[in-house]
Amino acid sequence: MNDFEFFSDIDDILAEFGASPDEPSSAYDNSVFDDENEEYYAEEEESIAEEPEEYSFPEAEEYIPEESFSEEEEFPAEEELEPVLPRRRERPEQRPESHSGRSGRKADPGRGVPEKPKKKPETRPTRERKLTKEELFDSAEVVANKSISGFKRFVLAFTGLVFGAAALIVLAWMLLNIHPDSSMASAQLTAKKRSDVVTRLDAYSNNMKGELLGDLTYIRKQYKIPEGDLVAPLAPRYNYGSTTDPKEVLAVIEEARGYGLLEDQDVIFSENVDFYYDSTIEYYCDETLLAICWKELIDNRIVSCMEVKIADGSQIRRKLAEDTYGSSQYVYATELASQCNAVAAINADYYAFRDLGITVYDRRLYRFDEGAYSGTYDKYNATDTLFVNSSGDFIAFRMGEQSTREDMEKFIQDNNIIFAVAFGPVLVDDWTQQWNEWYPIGEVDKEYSRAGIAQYDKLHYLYMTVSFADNPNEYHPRCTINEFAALMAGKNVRLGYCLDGGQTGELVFNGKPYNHIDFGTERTVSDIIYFASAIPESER
Amino acid sequence: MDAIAFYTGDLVVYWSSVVIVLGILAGFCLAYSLYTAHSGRGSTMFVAFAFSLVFSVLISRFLHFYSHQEQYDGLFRALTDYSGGSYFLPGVVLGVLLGAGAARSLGFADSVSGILDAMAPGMALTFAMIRLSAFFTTACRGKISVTTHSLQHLPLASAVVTASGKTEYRFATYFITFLLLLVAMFILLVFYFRHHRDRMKPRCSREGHVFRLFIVLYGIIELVMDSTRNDSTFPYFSIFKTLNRFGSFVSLTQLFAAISILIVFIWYSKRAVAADGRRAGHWILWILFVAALTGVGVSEYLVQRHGDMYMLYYSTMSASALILGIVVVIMYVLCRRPKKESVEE
Repeated sequence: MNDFEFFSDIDDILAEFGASPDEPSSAYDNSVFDDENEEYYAEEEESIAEEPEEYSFPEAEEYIPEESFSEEEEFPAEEELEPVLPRRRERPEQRPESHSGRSGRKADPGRGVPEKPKKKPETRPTRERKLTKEELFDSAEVVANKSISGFKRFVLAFTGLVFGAAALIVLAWMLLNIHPDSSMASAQLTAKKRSDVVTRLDAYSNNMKGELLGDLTYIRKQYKIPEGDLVAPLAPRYNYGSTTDPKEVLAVIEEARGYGLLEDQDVIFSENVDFYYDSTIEYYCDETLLAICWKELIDNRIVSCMEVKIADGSQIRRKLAEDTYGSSQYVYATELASQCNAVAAINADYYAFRDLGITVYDRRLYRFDEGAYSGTYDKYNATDTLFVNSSGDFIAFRMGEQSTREDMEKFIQDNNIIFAVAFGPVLVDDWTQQWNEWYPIGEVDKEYSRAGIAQYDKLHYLYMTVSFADNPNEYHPRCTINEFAALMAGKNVRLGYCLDGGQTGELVFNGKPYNHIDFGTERTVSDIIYFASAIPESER
Repeated sequence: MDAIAFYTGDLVVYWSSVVIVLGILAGFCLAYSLYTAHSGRGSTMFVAFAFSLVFSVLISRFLHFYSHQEQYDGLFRALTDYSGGSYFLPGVVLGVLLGAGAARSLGFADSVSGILDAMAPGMALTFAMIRLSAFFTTACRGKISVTTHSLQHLPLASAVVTASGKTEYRFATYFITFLLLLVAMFILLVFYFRHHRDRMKPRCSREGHVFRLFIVLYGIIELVMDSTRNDSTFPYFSIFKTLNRFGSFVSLTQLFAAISILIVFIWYSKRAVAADGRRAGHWILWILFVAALTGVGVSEYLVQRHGDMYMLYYSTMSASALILGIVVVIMYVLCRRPKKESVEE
């Protein structure tokens, strides 16, 4: 039978490969196996040189050759051997004996042929000797063929059939129950959806009023994205713009004021900041959403800002991978933004990666672990949590605050909390910068790329990131958490909250990353927070 | 939504379930025929199979629960309610180990290794069918987006419909894994018939090598292919929390694969050293192994950081994984008796 040439070649190669220069290629070519010690005993090299030229078969009591000896009798058939205890190594009768083997006797040519070294009958495997592991493996086939009683055979066969039947039952059960990844265990949302029939009716009547009185007075139409919609209306391309002239942006802001979108609020954007030279200002404007992106230098740091003003609280939303809480998928933020028709988006808290804080999605409390974390903190209050309600307002739950699951569910219901993110810390609270000595996540005292979200005013938000420059030859420092808090407080926001930074920190506008991402490419995330236009595509 | 094969009343059977069960049956038939053809008892395989099924489901479910606790309402529900959720496929290997051990403990066999050797090709076939079943679920979750029109078909890409109704083409990671596991099955079959009872050097058993080869082949396949998924299971260390910083780069499947390959390599290394003593060749193999493992880890880190250079980094990762496998096989060969001696006997 031909073995694999590959393996046979490898054997030869490796025999040389693994050996020392002066040693034979295989340590087993001229060795004898010592059964007692289970090791090979190498013959001395002198034995080969001293091998006599003439030798005769030694006389052995158990075997006397005859002239009419046949080959079969010279080599007894295997059936005569002990089947249970095969010999470790069978020596062919014609093999020249070693005269200086284990016994250490040297040949003396003058005295003729020395006596054959006596065997060690006490070391030969006997029927009573306990089998070594090697012999057990060698004799596995023989053991399997040992005769067993008929009763035992019946018991084994019957038991096998029973287990076989059990296996078939398990298989049938698997056929009905095992279908991986078909749906998440928690996909059946049991969150109570507040009936928005009344608000939708209000919006409808308002819009009808506006159309009827259109020639007499302007009544701004109200648009709302239904809470259960996974995809927002697609924002038209002609509403996007890009410029390097801040005055052009001021004109867009005035346009938004004309829509009544800004109401009486100021804007964060200013033409007098130190814009980063290698950047453009991006914007989007329609009746329901104004978004402006720019990069400025603050203390030599490149700060990417995105100011967003929306008309309705339903336009700030959260998008999860697979639109299912607990999904194991990780997707690029640009892909998530594209899937939901987001105008502007930012990475969220990467909730799938940790088990701290409180998470809420679609009005349902998912994570509230009252297990101990460290020190005086439990897992649910080991981080600051940011709640967002149906009116688009931010509410902070601070690290260390005490609550119970029931109280939290009541809080969610009473305040119409739509979703909550758990990263933090809170950077600004009531227009006051917060100082954080320690925080369990986010490497607060190290210089990292940072990302955060803040509420400036009613339905008025600010995204902010701090990162490297696109040009690798330029050096611009990043910041610690407290430095980032100072930057955000400088924009006069009411409540600012830190999100996941590093390579995850990303600001997406018009389907593309706006800020510089660490290492130059996006990293997959589990969720984003995004803003979308509320004007239905049918009314454009 | 899963494709439904048939339903009657409240009873719904999905195509993915049908393919998985057929794969398990095919794997069992293969294992049964191999085992009984080499003087094994059929009842042994029935017992091992039954235990393996139960243990595999429980262990793979538990491991998936541990890494995705937010998908379940507690451990008890995870192990009793199978209406949703998923499974951690490498947990099946542990289940089969326990099943074979149970068969031996009950006295149906003298050697666990013999059972595992016979089951190894069947396991490869079953795993291949389980990966194929993913075509009947929501999507083949490849991370890489295939934009070249001529490549937007199998075996390289499969269509994915997003929530917004757009169709994207992504790398067909499950289908490629299915093909690779089929190749592994054929390698294991050939190895089983030619080498599974080769004489080994002292202190090295003659059985168990087919199963170890399966571990190595499955490990190097998953080391690379799991990285191409966008729904990998990442470990969470509740005790050594500092390790969680690195847990987002290496998935649980990759950890399992690397550790398994390492265990097999150490096993063969110890026996090679015991048989021949420590030689220069062994050191070379050890260094190569560490270098290849490092290559896989570094490539994985770089492909996550620089996703746009995936072609380069997946190539280096594949080459490193292949070297890993070759090094382990060479170490196995060093534990085998040379062919000259076998012929003389």
